[in-house]
Amino acid sequence: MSSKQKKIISTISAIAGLIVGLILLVGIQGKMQALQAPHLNLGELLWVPDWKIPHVLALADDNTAADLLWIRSIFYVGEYHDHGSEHDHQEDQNEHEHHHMDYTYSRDKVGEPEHHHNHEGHHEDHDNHHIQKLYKHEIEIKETPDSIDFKNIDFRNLSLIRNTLAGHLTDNEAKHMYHLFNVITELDTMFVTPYYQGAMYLTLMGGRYKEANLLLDKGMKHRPDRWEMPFYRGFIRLFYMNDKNGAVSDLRIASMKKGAPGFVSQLATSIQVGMGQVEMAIEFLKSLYEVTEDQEMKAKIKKLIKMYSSK
Amino acid sequence: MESLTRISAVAQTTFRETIRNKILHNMLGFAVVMFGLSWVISAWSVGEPEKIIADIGLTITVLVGVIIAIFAGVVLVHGEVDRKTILPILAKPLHRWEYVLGKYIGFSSAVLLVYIGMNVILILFLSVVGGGVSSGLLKAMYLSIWEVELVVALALMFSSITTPWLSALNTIILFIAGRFSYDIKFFLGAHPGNAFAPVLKIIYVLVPNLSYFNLRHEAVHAIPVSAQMLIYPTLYGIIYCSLVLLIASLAFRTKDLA
Amino acid sequence: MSAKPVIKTDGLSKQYRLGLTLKPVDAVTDLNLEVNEGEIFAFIGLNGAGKTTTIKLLLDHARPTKGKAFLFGFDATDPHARERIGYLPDLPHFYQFLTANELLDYSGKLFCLSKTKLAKRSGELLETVGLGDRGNERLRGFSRGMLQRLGFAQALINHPDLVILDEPLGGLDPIGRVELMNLITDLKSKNTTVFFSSHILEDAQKVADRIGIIHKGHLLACGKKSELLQTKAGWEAEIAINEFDLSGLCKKNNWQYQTNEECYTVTISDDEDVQKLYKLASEKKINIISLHHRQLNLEEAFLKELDRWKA
Repeated sequence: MSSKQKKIISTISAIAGLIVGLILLVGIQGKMQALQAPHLNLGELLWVPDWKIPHVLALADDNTAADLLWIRSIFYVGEYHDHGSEHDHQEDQNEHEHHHMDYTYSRDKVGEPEHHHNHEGHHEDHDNHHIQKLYKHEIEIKETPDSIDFKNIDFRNLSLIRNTLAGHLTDNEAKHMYHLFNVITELDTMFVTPYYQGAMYLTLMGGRYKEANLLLDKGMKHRPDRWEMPFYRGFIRLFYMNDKNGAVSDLRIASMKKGAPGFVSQLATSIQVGMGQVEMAIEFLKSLYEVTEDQEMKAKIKKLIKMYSSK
Repeated sequence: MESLTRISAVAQTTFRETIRNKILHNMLGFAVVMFGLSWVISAWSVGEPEKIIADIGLTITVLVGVIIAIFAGVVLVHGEVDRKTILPILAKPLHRWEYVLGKYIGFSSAVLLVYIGMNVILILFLSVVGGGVSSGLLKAMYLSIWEVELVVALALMFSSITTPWLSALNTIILFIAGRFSYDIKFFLGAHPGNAFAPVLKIIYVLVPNLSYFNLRHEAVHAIPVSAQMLIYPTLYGIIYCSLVLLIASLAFRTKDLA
Repeated sequence: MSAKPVIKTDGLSKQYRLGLTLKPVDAVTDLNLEVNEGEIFAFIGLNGAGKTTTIKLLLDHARPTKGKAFLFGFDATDPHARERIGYLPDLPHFYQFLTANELLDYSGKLFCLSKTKLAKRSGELLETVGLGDRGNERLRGFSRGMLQRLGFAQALINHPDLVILDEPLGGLDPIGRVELMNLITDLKSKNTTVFFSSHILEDAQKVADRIGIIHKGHLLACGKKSELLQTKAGWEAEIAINEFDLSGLCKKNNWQYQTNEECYTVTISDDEDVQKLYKLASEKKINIISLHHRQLNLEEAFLKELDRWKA
């Protein structure tokens, strides 16, 4: 064998060795991953204390910090889509009184605590408890037909919509998600997508319309020029809070913003005119479909539209 | 006049040195890769991908500029002393301050060239895959040039005083502190009676106030920028760089070349 | 010759402070030196004797702790003093990223030479040092000898009246040394003053007109080569070998001798002993091949000065 041949053979075997090694490595990685997956708590990984940490880490380039956190949270949602069905949706059975949440994040008040009404110590537990109770309360009100002010809304339909769209965000996950969106919009107050898209994730995946509303309100404050925030607030008012008048006024606000699609005002009008509930729901879902960019969510909405249309 | 000839000779050689430096080529490649990456990342965002591309692109250009400024800058003078290449140069009828100034001009113009190059790539990139180029974006790019130039001056100053490692450390600390200069100011406003307030005030004056060179938020969100927001930082940059170079020259004036 | 001194030092002293304790170390102490126009001055001493420090003080690479140095009547700290100087450092470190032409260009511009003059001059110099065809190559690929020669070229770019060479013979092979010696004598023929430091005494002895001996920062001796070497050193006789046992005779008279296959070389210090040797020669039929005054070589002169200083 000539030395040249030897050289070629040794090169080939080295490359082959590298490839085999790499394949083995990836294989073992997969095994380890499989072992690890059930124990990982994605919510915990996402925990970002407050905007100061990313602010410092990004060397005061807050916009980029916001972007990266936003992308991270999108991944979180993606992971949720993949693994979400495995999670157990735990409902707190105890409920007593109605608390007001105060999730005011303020950069204007340096040095003051972020959560005005929450005190140090058992922050998380307290918060969780808090939100759970809150929801229990609201949902029960909604689903008792007697307490409805707006008689022409078919609540079986609406709750069907809610349940079909809803994922199973655990309280902890929902809390982290909301917190994360809040941090993102604190770092870049002008970043529109996290406001409405975050509100969408919170409501559609977890039914967390209260936090979603806070997020949208904040978005409307910082970006009064955009139609998305009032539009989604209108959606939440109609579907989750049974506030038809509120929804119409929000849609009116949205339709007057620059760049608002034509269906926004049409939708407002048709709600006001008082269409049949199913038609109205389809109408809204269609417009929701138009503006939704998340593919999974879009597919779900499409499915719903089909379901209603076939009735 | 002769002074000018000598300064430009030093500048020319330093320019060559920097342009032929491997760090520079690697960092340029890194920047381009990061632009591409920002595009990939932005595709995941459900909305406003062009904002994300612009944000990350602007952040990367400044960071790459600063990294080049620090890591190529801290060896500029000290490296020459260390390698003794400075000996035949200073054996010629050259004032020490001419040498320092020449080094700065040569180095900063090389960094400037690379920086502008990076921004041109970014502009092309944004016009192809991003949301185009606004005048606000150009303004942000302009001010970030000064941000990089301030770091260049600081790196050079430390390089003519101390070793590369210490210089890099000092420059990085000042750069980071400078990035948070507005936070320092804000803290002082919120806590005027703080025990550290006098120290912080001094720090605020001394560190380069890089916060005011950051128009990136305004650029991506199309927030109008007044002329003063461009003029004052420019003046600040000129004065700060001059002072830093003056200190560098003074420190280097009687330094023994080991 | 009433030439004014080209280099003059006046009580020149340099103290370095070393280490964390800032322990003072005297590198040069009270150095008084004069080098005249047109002469080749060899500055010799052991490694670490203070040669390089002295050169640094002359070129304002370091500032003296005490005393002053003058070049062409200018204070050494004045850049004007360096206008008519060429300097070659002890180790030929030049910018690796430049080409030979670029280095010469740079050097020339620092003397504010015009472009045309500079182009002509650097071409000439590269020819002279034997690098005529390598002008456009980066210095990264140059050998040490080539760098040394290029260093010589950059030192001569301004037609200097004084050339200061720090250990110019250090890294050179025998041929390189001969070439460099020729260059130095060439310079002298053009009435250029040459100041060079060396610890290779042999070479210094060959070309120098005047010699300064420095040891531990002190100037031990300084003067014309002939004066330094011509001190009385006795006689040296070469005697052909025959049957007679000369070694016994030498031992008896306490004469130093060396022997090879053909002859004895006997060193005699007294004139009386010379007479004795002549007498013996006629008696014992010893064949004296030659007898001459012995000249001190530089090494011996150096050691003698060293002994005197220690005493």
